[in-house]
Amino acid sequence: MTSSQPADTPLKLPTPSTSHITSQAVYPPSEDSYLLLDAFSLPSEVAFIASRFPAATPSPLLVEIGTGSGIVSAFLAAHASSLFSRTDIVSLGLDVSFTANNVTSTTVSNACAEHTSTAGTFLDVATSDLTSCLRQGIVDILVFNPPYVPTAESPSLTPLRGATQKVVVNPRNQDDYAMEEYLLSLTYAGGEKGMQTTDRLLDNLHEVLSDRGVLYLLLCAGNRPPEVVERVEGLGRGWRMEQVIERRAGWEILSIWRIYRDARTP
Amino acid sequence: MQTNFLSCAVKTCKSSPAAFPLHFRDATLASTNVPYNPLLLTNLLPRLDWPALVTSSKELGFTLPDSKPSFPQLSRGDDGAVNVGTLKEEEETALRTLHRVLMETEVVEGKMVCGSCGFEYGIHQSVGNFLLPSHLGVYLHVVVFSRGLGMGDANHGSV
Repeated sequence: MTSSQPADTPLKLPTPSTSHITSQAVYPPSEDSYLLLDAFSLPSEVAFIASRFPAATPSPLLVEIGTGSGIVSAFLAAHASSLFSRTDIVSLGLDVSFTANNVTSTTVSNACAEHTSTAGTFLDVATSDLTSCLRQGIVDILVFNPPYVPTAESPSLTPLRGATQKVVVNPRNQDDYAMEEYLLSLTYAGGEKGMQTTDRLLDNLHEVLSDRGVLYLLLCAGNRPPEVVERVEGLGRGWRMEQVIERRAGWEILSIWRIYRDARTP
Repeated sequence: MQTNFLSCAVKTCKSSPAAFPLHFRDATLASTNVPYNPLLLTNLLPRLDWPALVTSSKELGFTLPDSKPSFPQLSRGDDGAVNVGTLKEEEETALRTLHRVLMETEVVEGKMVCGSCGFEYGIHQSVGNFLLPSHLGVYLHVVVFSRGLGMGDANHGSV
């Protein structure tokens, strides 16, 4: 199933339940979500994280952007001791959609309640455009499954701004249907090369991550990963971008990458 | 506790000391029951901004000491147990207070206000809303653009 070496098969950890999601307007757990779970479950990745965040160092702060159903945040928080080799991690979930944040809270707390002995601490969700609500330079592990599908344009966030959002579920009228369709378009439509949102994050990544910080980013082949690698590594100052896992999913080729600064490289 | 990780979403406020921490206003609190985890608290403490935590806690009705307390390095033994026996009684009491403030206190409804630009972020059903209204985004573009043209700030000066 995976393209990594046979010796590096993902740990078998239970997938969080999302059965409480009935018809809320969120991106349902899909191939890309599961690929992220598998990436973190690779013994080689567990080893990488353990070496970057040893037990005696301050608690790592984990942040997911675009939590959607909350399945990734729930998996990472519930299985902290297996994936991060420590349970004293704290995590936050960010999404532009109040519906996603509302659903994520439930997904994560259910999963953590089911795995109390291995879970980290999930602190909170917040409605935010990327990491704009965070202090600079504090994120240790950042996870982003972006809207990556190449489209003519990426939808504007204007309809969500300056308004009190409510949970969008069981649409009954024209306005609700329009909002549901809009929210779902935000989950996949990535604009040119599918990179419009990802580019905004990469532009500011040096202000988001801590010195030991790592971004786990999902890309599809249409995002032209080699161009992204060239751009990130072209920044110099030790920036590295390495593929963690790759998988064909239907007509897409999806891959997860880790982006970080290697202190040993000047 | 999450306020210790948050700051104003307005880009020009990021470098302003007044934008952190955001100040609670009209906060309705709820307390949750979270298992006490001294290892987490002592490992979390080094990465918290203590003065900001004192300010935020005071706004919610909790009093913390002015200076950051220090604790012995806790660790998990081979049997999985944390060596809490090394904690003195007053350290244990301080950790219990921190646990109540950091882990068990939740703001359900209210506002967080930026001390720099005055923008009010709403908290509704325990979820803070940090999406800025469109007019703030537009305003920012104007500021950045005019700086780039006329004021020769550091980012443009060498071109």
